[in-house]
Amino acid sequence: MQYITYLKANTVEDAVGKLHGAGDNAVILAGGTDLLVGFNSHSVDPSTTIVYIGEIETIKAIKETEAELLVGSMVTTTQLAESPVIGRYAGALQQAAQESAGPQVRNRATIGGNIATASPAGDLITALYALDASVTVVGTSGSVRMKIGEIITGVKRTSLSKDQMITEIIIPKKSPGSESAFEKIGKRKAMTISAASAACQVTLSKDQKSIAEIKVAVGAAAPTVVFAHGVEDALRGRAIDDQLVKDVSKLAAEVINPITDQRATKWYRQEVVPVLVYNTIMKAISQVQKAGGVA
Amino acid sequence: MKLTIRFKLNGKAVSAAITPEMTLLTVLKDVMLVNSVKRACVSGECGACTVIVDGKAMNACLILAMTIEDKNVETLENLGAPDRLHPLQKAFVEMGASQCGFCTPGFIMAAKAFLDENPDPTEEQIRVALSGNLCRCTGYVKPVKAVQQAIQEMKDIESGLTPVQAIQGAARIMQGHSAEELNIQIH
Ligand SMILES: Cc1cc2nc3c(=O)[nH]c(=O)nc-3n(C[C@H](O)[C@H](O)[C@H](O)COP(=O)(O)OP(=O)(O)OC[C@H]3O[C@@H](n4cnc5c(N)ncnc54)[C@H](O)[C@@H]3O)c2cc1C
Ligand code: FES
Ligand code: FES
Repeated sequence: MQYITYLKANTVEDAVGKLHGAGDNAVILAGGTDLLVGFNSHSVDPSTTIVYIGEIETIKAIKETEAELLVGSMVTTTQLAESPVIGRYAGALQQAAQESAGPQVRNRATIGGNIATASPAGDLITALYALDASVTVVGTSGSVRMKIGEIITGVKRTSLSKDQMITEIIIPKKSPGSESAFEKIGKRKAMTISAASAACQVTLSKDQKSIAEIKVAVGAAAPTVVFAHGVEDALRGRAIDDQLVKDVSKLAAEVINPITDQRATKWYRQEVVPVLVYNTIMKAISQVQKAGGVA
Repeated sequence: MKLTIRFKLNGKAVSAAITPEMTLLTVLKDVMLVNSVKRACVSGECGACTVIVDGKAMNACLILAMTIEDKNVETLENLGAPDRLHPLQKAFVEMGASQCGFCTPGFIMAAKAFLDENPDPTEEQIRVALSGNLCRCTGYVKPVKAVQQAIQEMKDIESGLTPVQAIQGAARIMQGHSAEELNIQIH
């Protein structure tokens, strides 16, 4: 009987070398919470070479520079859920992490694995779109930086080649007067994959009376996470108005392309996405106002 | 091709001859013959296979065993024995939080990892800590109450009440009497 090959990488360079050496059979193993579900449900091709990146110390930390948060690809969902720095500068990502899976999975699941899985229901991904995140990818041909939306190309598809790995996620620190929020809905409260989700980042004007800048992302309602540009355009520069936000959130239904699956029907997704969009926008606005001392 | 992995199991250095596609669940259950770890969904959904790895609760079914080299793995066997149960085990028995018992080791290990980091949690925090575990018999009220009773007993043991007094007091609080009414001091 032939078995799979298991290789442990000690550094990013080591991982890339091992991936290159294994060619088409290479598979990166991070937390394993997506990969092992697959291994357990159908037998693994024995020619597979697993390259384990979980012992590479340089990709396990959350760091900050003056302008950016640098999140290593092996940072776990638990780390994101608990980190004060993530809470301060990337609220949507923290909320998405807190609402992902259950404690046992969160302790193992990683941000790099969430991106590379490229599920339209990836909660961290939805938040990363709204936060305008970029990703550093390292391969034999060097290191490239791209936007989160450029690496994810379709349902469970990325632009990564077999010898490339995600090493870092870069999130611009929000400006003062800005907050982000995330909300999801699923079949039950805990341990649920999103039937639909929304994340936004809102920057208010100095007087906190109008919306200066806004980004809105919707998850689990199209082949990839999508931006609701119609909602953004309709709110940019406008005075804060609950009814207006409610009305224009309906525009989000136009950019999604939902399917009916075991988690929700197409109709339900069309109805619920505007509600999630409205909720996250109002949540972000009220957080800015709270931080700025306006009731 | 058999490989050897070395790790710590319940404080003891062990080694096991395994094949590279085995999960930690398979190694614990089928190679090391650890009884408490249960195999059910093998997809991370139910928590019956929960063990503690380097202080954190994890699903053994989603861990490739090779990645456990040099780590500390803790299972229910490390907690207590029938004649000296851990407060969590005792509380699960006394509160009726265990019926068929299949899910119980997983619940207790999830609770143990959580209480090691948060000795004085709110009820909501306990619910979140147990949200990765499914039980088809008792529901979710009794396991939460059992964890609360165990916390109370651990505090009482620390404060010098005998375990019997402590349990009686805790059980009465669970039945709806207040601590003041029973003249029990909660620290
Ligand atoms: C019970 C359960 C509940 C879940 N609930 C949620 C949920 O609520 N929300 C959610 O979003 N997800 C959920 N998930 C999915 C999963 O936990 C996440 O997608 C997780 O972030 C995956 O990370 P990982 O490290 O475990 O990935 P792995 O399984 O290790 O890898 C996943 C894929 O990414 C590749 N990969 C991993 N790291 C890298 C890297 N650095 N560079 C390039 N490729 C890489 C792997 O080769 C593999 O193809 C759940 C999973 C389970 C089992
Ligand atoms: S058997 Fe591992 S979570 Fe169900
Ligand atoms: S006691 Fe039977 S599944 Fe929980």
